[in-house]
Amino acid sequence: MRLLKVYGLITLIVVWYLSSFIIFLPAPHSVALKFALLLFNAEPVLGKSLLEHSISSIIRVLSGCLIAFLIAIPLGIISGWSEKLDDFFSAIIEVFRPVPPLAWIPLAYIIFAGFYSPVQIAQVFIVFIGAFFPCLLSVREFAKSVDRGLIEMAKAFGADDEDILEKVIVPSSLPGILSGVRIGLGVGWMTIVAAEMLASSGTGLGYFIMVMYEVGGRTEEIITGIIAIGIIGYLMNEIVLRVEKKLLRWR
Amino acid sequence: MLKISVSKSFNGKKIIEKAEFRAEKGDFVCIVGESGSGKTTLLRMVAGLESYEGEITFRGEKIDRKSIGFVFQDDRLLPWRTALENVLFGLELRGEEESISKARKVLELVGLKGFEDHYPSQLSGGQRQRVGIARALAIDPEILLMDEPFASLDELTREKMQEELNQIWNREKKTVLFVTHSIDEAIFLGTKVVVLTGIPSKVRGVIDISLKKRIRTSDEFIEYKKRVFELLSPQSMF
Repeated sequence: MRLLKVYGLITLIVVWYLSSFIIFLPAPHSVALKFALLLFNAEPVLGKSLLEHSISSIIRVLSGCLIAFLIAIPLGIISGWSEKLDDFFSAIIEVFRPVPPLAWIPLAYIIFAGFYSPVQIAQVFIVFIGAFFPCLLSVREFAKSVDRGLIEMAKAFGADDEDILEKVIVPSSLPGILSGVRIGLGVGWMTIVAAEMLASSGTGLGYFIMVMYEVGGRTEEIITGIIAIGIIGYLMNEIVLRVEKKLLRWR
Repeated sequence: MLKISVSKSFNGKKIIEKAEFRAEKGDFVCIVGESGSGKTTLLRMVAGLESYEGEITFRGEKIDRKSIGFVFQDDRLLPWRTALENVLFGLELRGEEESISKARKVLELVGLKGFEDHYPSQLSGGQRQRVGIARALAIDPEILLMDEPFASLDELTREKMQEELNQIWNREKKTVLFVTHSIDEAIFLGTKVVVLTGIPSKVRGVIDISLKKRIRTSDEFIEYKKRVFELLSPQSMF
């Protein structure tokens, strides 16, 4: 398994090398050098290192996701529990769910134009939209499929609604919460890069890539940015997976 | 004393017609009947999980849910809790979170010492059912309700569990209502066997059991079996 993964990566690099002879693409080693250089050293046009760009993107994603999860998780549990509330929310959810978060970008920039640092707020908002729905749906699905037998067992032992929520429904929804967080972070990460491309915020990986394109097609820098996005996305997913494994030992 | 006198209708159709019997303190009452005779429904009524017409009283009063321990046919353990944490469930609801030592003791009583930190997915069917029994015993219930707890176990495990349950009951002397479709099991465990039959189902008879020895092949055992079987068979209705 592990070996095959290594082979896969080697294949990718070989194909990349070969393509760099044919199309306008910098070779892997020159990108690698650029990556190593820009990681901690400021890139001259924007005056910031790759690490600084990454950190500001990550902060935006984490704040947008945090707000999204704080609302989506309780809402998912409530609508998974009560059919009436689920009906009430489902119309609203169904209308907004199919809208790609990117479609909100222009509107968000207008809505938050009057705020202090409107671009940042708009970007956090777009991440919020992107992370909210996948998380909500995942939590709701698990909360809905709570074993009725366990709820009945709790009742037979004298549990009231609050006990049932705390001791049965929430732990039973935990797998849904964790996968909701993981998917939400993934979508949020994709959204922030797109959002950063559309407005100047001075920092951020999406912004960095866009500027590198605008100042004259600096492919090495662009690919460096893409790689950073990939690595961070992978790490975020991996961290939540580890947490999942730890918390869901009983599975 | 536990007094039961109930009827139950479902969608306008009567399914239980004035089922009446009583259990003295320390009685082990086995309820037998064919499937669909409302045995489980009866237990659920006592547990307050099902509505009914009529009366269920314990020492002359309405039953307090907190005085009941329920053992289900499917173990209904919380899969994210270890054996010990599952046993603690009822104690937590009673605000006795501190009683880990109590939970440990009960687990030991059902023969699960050393399995405290196992999750249900790591236990066998018999062990899970033991945890279920321990969970019910831990709250020190005045009435223990058991709904075919051994039905899904293999024969050898089942007989072993019956022996152990008998020993536990001998020690703890709880009032037990035990639903089963096995006549054998009912006679082996019970001090009383309540036979439910018919549609709507009624109490066809109550047999007091007093075995000199709990041996399934003894004459007295077989004699009891015959009597229960006669009550259960449709011919005896006419």
